[in-house]
Amino acid sequence: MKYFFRGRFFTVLVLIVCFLLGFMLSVAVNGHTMPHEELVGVLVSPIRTGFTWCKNQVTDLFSSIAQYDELKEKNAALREQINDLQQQVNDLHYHKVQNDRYKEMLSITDPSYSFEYVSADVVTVSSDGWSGSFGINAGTGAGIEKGDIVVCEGGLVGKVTEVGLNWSTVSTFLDPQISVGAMLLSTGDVGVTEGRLDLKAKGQCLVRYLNKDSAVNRGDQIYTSGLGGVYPKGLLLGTVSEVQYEDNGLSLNAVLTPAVSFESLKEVLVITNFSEDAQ
Amino acid sequence: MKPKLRLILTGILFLLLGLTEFCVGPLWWGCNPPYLLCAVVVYAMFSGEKSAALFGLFSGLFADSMTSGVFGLHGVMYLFFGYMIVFLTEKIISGNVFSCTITGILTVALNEFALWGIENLDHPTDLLTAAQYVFLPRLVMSLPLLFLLYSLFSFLFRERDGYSAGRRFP
Repeated sequence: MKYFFRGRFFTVLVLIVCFLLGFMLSVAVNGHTMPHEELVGVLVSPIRTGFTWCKNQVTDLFSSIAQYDELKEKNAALREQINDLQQQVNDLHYHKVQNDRYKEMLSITDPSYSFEYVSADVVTVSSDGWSGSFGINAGTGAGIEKGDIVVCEGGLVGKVTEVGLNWSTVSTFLDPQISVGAMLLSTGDVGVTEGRLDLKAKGQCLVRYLNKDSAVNRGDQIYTSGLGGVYPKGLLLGTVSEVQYEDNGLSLNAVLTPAVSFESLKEVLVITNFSEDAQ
Repeated sequence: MKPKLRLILTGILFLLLGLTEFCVGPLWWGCNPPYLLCAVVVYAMFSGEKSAALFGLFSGLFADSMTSGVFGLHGVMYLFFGYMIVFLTEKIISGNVFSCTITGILTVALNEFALWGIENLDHPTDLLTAAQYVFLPRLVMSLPLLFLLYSLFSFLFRERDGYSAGRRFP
């Protein structure tokens, strides 16, 4: 044991540790992605992508064999649901046309958004339980910048917090570091999402600062409010699963169950540019 | 088993464990078992100071490259754990599956506590909440993993080759 401290190996080890501590200190002081981190990300990104592809192929193969009967039943149920939804779409289209006509008559302008997207695959997941983030295999090379909004077919996912040439880190809105302006669709009340460790473990987050007289109920849908201009308005966040009073009794909090299933997320869309067009 | 083959198999095992930890899941309560850390602990019980320190360093750097945290943090921590477990195995810990499990659990707890301390600098989190929703799931998932890894490494470092837990490379 004592000879360990005398050898050249120990000296090299101490130098490596000092080097790493210096890296850590530089990141802590600068607070943004350093060139060495970017280089590591660029080199490791293809390995992550390759392994995730292999993993997806294997899990898809086994799940399709093991769940054949279940998939068959689910397929039939989904066909029936599609028919019902098609009927609803037709009804909604009729109401939309009427709504647009009334708006034109009353000269009401309604903002809408145009988006530019980049598609990316999820290659790493958050494993330690602290952060609600994951890695994707696209970066500045595809036009992605830090702060870009990430969505998928279910709704809002989060935003890009770190970016490299061919990799990015996306923090979901379950992450305690991310807050999103939220709006209750039924009443128009606004609030802010807040990630908490206890709720994040269950795949939920909190929507705070809702009006205490708000008629929020379980099952109500919550969308992004668009306030602040960071997140576009109208992206689905999730549904309310529980309502509780704030400790001081001055506002309401709603426990939000996200519309997106983060654990089974395989592909996302990064909004590289969005602009508001008045209709 | 030839030493080179053992080294290659150990390297492949570490790579698979690392990729599984960061590309698959999360398994339970939003987190995965600490595959790499458990592997470092078990490996350290069968190996010497240099090997354990090196494997800890490389495992930690691999973990840093796969996560979005501060680069180098896991490298330094796993290196420290690898070396300390070898030191303790010489002085206090006996080489059997139960002591390996207890050592592993304590190491994981220490690792999580350190991560909590670092997270607390940015976002203060109540220790009890962190213990319930992060520490506990990770510790519980580590238990069967440590048993499994000990069996695996017992095979890799077989008695008849002159190795066993607690008796390491010359």
